[in-house]
Amino acid sequence: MEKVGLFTPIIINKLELKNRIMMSPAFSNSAAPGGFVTDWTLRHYQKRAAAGVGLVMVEHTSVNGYYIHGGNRLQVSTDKHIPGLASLARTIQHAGAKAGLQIAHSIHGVGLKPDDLPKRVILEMIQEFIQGARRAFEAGFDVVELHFAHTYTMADLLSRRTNRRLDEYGGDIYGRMRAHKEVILGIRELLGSDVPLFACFSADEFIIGGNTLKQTRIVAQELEKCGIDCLDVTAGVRFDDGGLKGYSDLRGKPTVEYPDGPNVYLAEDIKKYVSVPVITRGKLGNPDFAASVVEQGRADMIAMIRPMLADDKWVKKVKAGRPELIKTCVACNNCLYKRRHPDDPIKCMERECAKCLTCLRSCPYHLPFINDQGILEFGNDWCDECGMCSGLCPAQVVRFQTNPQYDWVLDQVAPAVRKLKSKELRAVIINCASGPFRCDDKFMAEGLAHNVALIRVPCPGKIETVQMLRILELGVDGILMARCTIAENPECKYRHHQPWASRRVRRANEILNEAQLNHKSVIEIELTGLQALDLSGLTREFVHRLQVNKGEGGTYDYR
Amino acid sequence: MITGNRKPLTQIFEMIKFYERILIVGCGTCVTVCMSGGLKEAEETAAAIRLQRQQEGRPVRVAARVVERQCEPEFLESLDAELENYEVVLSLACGIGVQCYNLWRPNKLTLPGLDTVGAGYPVKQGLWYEACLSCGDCMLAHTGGICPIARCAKSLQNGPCGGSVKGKCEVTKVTTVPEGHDCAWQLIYDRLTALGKLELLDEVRPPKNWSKAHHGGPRKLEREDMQIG
Repeated sequence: MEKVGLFTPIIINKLELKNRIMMSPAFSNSAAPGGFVTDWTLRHYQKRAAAGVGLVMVEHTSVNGYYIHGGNRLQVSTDKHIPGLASLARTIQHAGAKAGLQIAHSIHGVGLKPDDLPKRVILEMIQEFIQGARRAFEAGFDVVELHFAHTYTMADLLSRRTNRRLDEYGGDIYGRMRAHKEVILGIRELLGSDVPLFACFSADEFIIGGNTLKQTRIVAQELEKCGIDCLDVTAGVRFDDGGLKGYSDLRGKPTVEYPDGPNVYLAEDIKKYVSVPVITRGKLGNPDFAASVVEQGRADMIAMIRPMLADDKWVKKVKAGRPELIKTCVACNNCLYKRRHPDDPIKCMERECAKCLTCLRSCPYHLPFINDQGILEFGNDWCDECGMCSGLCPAQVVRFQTNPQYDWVLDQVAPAVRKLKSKELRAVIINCASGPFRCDDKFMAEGLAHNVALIRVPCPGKIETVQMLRILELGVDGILMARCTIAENPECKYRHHQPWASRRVRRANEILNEAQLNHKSVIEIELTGLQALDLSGLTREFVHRLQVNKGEGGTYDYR
Repeated sequence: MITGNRKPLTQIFEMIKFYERILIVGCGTCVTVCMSGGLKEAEETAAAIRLQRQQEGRPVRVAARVVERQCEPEFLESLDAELENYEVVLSLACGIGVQCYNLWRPNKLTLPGLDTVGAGYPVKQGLWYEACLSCGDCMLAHTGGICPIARCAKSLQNGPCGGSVKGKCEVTKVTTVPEGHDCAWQLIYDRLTALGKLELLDEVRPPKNWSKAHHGGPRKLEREDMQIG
């Protein structure tokens, strides 16, 4: 038998693909108002198509202009959308790939659940899907994928958890997928049996009381019977339990903690029950692993988007046998979550190292080095994770990836400041998390909780100047950084940070003075263990001083 | 690398006082490395602007971004989509970056947020000295690899002036460098002594042809064989 690999062609219905790599239909937030294709959309898909992707599946495109998910989404809801989509399909095809369009409908976007829907809306939706597919093929797309997954209407209907309808569109799994069958049969009736039709569904919803393989095996078999040519097996992205960034959401876009291809087993299982090709997705950016998935027959095709955002030439480099040139996706999901502005299109937020060598010069353990190829490398095996390099990196490239979505100021400081009852005078105390500094009971007892938010950090020396400024932006009048006396803690893991507290505070104050923001102040004090026991007393003095000198600026010496 | 200092914030505030939507763009190469105009500094400046406007009670929308190099038009494309949302660009790149931004994105005004200081090197982490004036006629072969044009306040070519005291330059008394600058000619003398090549100093160097420097008008570099179109 011929060995099948990533670059073995595959024929699905009448669709001939040159390789088995699909660009996942990830929402790019690039549509113009009204859901029209923009130049950015064209460039985004053209670049990846030109790099050799077999099938470019264009993102979630709504079949309805009202029942639509948030953000700048593409639409295929009227015939007016056809010319724009046609140019998109043409662009992708000219670049050498096959073009697909994923069509979807979302009641989640307008805050509804399946049981809120009158039957009329469901019947309309089925017609909209059929018309959407017709428009997609009219626009010249080679394939249409029906989006039955994630948090959209069709998945809501399919889900054991959310579909509580009592009519024929609810009930057991056959009832819950009745609308899906009607969509597929409708499309087949209108367009014939030789148009390639894919369906995307979550093989496991990863929510309590949601669909698992037990149900979705039946779904897969039924979809095949109705005439689906290929199954795109995804997972999760249900917001019912954990919401955005919850467990289910992250199963659909596995982050750095997950191993390679955590959802491949689902596709592997579904594949046993159907005879049509199966696509798997989710963290397949490691080319060796991706190839092994296809070679071992665990899935027929792989789909990915994040590695292609990190490096649009992923396919080209893998094909050329130069995987070492790939700009690796670290699966931080910042492309999906950390949009700096609501209208920003999707892009990789990972920046290039400026090679300033700050990390190399500042690492207390002298771990970073320049290797024989002249590339900067980190001796990660010996790293003590003190975080010095990431705090000093001027390009903000070096980071600890355990929780990349975490923003200390927004996630920890802002809620604490919001809770403060006083609106006139608010202060933040940042202190060491260990030993004598743990004194918040005393804070409460002495009535300071009214004005003061106590934030404990591994070391106040880790707080960067820009973070201090952002805390002041929250409407805080003063920050007191209480750090330990290093002579008392010579073994502390973060001892190398300790001297940085005063430098960063000095810089913050320089900026405040330059900006003539003298009513705000950042002060840093060094405390012995015994003094730390009276942190609440010192804080009271600080608050008093802030109160007296609100216009004067922080010049008060606490020692 | 090209070094620079962020402009005093008051000057920046004065420049942008009429604007309410400001995009601060750092540059990811030289000024990131000399820690004056990278993403981090852009974010600091953005925070300072927001704080100042909070104090004044005026609304402002500021975002901090960085591009790899502002002097190349291709790198600017990554910000084009959001550029439309802002009235003005405050560039933290060197003077070249600011000019290029204005040149290649003529519809937006780009303001300078950085005073370019010159071409320098890091003496140690966090300290940079100027080392080259781009005079167009390198004479380092005669001076043991220490440039008297850039590192002597008077750009003297034939030995020190009378203001060299204990190896320090007299001009530094009035400049901002607290520890004082080394006299370039003292450094050259010490270096040539160590190399045993003091005879290099016997040669009297004629007046320099400054027309190769900026004094001959803006210079241009051309490689005809490399030009496309």
